Amino acid sequence: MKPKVKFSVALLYLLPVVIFYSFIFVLPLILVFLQSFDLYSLGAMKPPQFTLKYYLEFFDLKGPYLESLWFSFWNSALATIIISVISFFLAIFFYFINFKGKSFISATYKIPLFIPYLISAFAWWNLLSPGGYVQRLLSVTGIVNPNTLLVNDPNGIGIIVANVWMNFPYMVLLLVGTLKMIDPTLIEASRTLGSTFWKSVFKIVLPLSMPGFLAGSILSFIGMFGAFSVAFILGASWPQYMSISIYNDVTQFSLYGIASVQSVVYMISAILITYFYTKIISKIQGERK
Amino acid sequence: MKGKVVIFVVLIALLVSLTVLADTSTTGLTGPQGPIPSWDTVVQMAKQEGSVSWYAYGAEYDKLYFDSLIPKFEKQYGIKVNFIFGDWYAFLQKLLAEQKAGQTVGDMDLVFTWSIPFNDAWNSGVVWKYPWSYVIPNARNIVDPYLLQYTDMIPTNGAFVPFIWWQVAFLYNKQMVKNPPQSWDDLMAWVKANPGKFTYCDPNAGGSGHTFLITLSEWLYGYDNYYDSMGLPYNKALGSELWNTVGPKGYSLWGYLKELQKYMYQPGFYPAGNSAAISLFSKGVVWLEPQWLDVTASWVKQGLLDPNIVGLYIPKPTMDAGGMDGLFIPYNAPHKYAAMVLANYLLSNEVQTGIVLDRGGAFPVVTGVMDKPDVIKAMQTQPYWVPFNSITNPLWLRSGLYMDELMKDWTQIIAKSQ
Amino acid sequence: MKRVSTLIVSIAIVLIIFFPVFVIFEWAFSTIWYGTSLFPTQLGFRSFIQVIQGGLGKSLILSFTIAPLVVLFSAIISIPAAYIIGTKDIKSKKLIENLFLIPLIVPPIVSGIGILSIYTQLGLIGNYMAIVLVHMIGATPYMFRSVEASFESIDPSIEEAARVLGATRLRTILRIYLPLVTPGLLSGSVFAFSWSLNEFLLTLLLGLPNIVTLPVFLYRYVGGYYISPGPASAISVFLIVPSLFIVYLMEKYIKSEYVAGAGIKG
Repeated sequence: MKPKVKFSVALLYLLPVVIFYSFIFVLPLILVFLQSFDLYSLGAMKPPQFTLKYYLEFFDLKGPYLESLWFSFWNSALATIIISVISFFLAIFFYFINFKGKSFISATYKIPLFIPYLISAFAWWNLLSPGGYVQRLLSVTGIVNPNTLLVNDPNGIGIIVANVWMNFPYMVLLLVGTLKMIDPTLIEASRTLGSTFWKSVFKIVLPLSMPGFLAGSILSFIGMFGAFSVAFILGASWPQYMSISIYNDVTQFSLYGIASVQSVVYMISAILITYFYTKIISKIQGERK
Repeated sequence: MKGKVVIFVVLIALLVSLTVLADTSTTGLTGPQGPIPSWDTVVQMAKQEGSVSWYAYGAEYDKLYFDSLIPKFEKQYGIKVNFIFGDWYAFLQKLLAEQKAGQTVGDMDLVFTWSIPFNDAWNSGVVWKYPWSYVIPNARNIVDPYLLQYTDMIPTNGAFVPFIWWQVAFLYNKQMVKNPPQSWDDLMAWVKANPGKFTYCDPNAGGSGHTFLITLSEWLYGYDNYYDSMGLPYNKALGSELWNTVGPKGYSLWGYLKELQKYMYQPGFYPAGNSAAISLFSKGVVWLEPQWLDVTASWVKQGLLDPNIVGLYIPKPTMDAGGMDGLFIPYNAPHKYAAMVLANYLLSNEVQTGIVLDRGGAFPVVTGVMDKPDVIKAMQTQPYWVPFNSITNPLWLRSGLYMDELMKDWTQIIAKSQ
Repeated sequence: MKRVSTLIVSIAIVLIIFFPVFVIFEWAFSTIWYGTSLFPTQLGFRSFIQVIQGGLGKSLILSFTIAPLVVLFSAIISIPAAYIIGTKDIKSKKLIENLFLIPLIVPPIVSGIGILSIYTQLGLIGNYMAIVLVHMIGATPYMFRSVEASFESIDPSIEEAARVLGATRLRTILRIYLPLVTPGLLSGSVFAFSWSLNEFLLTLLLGLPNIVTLPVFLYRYVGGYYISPGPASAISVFLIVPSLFIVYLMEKYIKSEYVAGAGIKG
């Protein structure tokens, strides 16, 4: 039994971390928040004056910002779904099957985890650009129209491909870990009762591994949602990921007002998505019990 | 109770830091004021200052060339150079922040940038306004004295000195194209006859795109008429109005671009920068595009572009010259004399010749270089040059401010119209 | 049937993983490769020479000195927090644990533009220690979670016993707990180190022009107005080769659970 401790006592031990994050993280966020109302200027000196004009600009239905936010969302979500499907089957593969050379394969699939995102993105930019190996392969085999753009394209195909390649190892690892926690006798029992391998997988393994798997996938999704380097290398002029839009507004056009609003909305979206997603998961888990 | 006190203290600390951010101050101010000093005085003062910080931007080949200049300058003058290579935007932001913090002594002595950020800097008051271009002797060799007063038609009042003449031309595939469009008048017809073979890059991502855009607009409305009707100084409303009006060539600017788009490579797709555009060219996918001479030079030197397919020319009447990006001295530079001495060195015949021969693909901004025999020979043998007189006769310039407006409007009107 | 499908899947994995790596190596060693040909027509070391002359050494030093500092400092601030949260029963434990995730959820650009303003005013742009602090933002949550997990797994009666025997709390932490949480510290250090090495956006915004870490150095060749695939690939090779070693070594010697979570490098 762990001894109970009052929060106020605990605070003393949390102080270094709290002080650190207050200045390096919370303070900047406060400034960004204030700038979104023009109450503080991130750029050149300006007298503060409260305005909602940047927010109005952001929420303009005909404007680019909502579109950008939506693009960041659905593009990352689609990548997450693809990753989930691939990772699930790969995790089953690694969990159930043993073969010679397994440890080599097991190490190989983890390689993308150790390659910086910028490099992976650049490699895929090479492969998917017109004339790149993958692009040539896909058009020669007729899978893809030779004229279809696979990178810097309006659908973010290149972004999805690179994101999948970079993130599926993490999900596989997560899933294998969750699978290890399932009681193997359950699967055995199901097989004895006459179910085929795959039926057992879908009826038993999938539901049981869901919670842990969903909890992990949210971090993966949020990582892609807020990421910069992949969209930077593989994205088109339009539509843009919100991170790119903010970066350009700040570094090219010095439009700090609208950049701050985008930042605030971006941050709140990420937090809300995470919050509701986890709530839904615990609800599902609760109902199951 | 203890916990609440701690939270309170942290909050107070945060609030206090918010105010601290608004206040810093230091002392110091250098540089000549009043009448123009003699050059000997300047050099003497510079040597006393002892060091200079030069902030420059560019591509990898520019960095390599600039790196090679540093030891030569240090040897000649005994003044140490702190060379920082980065991007022009970060430099501007640094200056603005120093100004906001009330710093009268900064880190940057000489800054290499281009017209639009210079204009931003000037309007924000971070440029040292003394007309120092009239102090340095080598500035008297500038190809056109007008360039000491204006950059991309933005007034500089002698506080900005051009350094490198970067040039955009039409790049065409010599093997596949026997008859490139000789003049701007022929461009639309050529693109229609060769669908999918022309492109220009996103003007906000690459200079070849925005130089193409401004030259196109000047051709559509007539160069002299353009600036007569647009009016200088810059008038934002006039720009938007004009570009929707049909001009003497039968198109409005946006009408022309929308028509052109239908026959371009992957209509609606714009390469995300100079490199992306030349990459398509190197693959033989695109046969004609506006492109920088220096980018072409880099790609040939790196073995990425087959020199046998490289054809460069200036369509008639001309392509806007430049940008002639250049140097200014910040208001709070601690070594203004040394900055002037360095700037003078960068305008020397030796350095400017090196821009042509060593760096390649860029023109000098001073006279006395283009007629040197090794320069003439280089321009005849290397594939990444155009005849100099095709740019100077007539000489058209970009208007930085209208170009900036064009870039913003282009995103709204062309890019998003998919 | 199982044999065949196992073989197909294995081959597929190897191909999919190594294809991009192969292309990078191709570019790194090519000296002439026109866009029209399928393979380079001439090979050489020019790209490597170019990046070495361009300052690769300095970037390597910067990246590999900043990362250990990030590990050290995030460990220092995480250990007390992990101790109190992991070994004691506190009402708002879940809340605190969730709070530690927020730096990983908020997109880096958001805090980045705020920090940009603060640092410019304090004159910290391009400051070495200032960058270390910024890397700690994303590294600390990983360090904290790993170390806390270790503290969690320790039997609380150990501390009780130490107290009974007269040890102060500090002594207990240093002499008894630290050795016991070494696994957590180790894996936390791996994540923190990896995070720092790969951190790009904040270093790009706040470190230029002085602090050119490896990712920022690489960015000079792939981002912005100019793309130089040769040098970019040469730099990548420098990073990929050690990574390959680490991956295969880890598979042999360390449990894969420690590797999970080394992602999200944005």
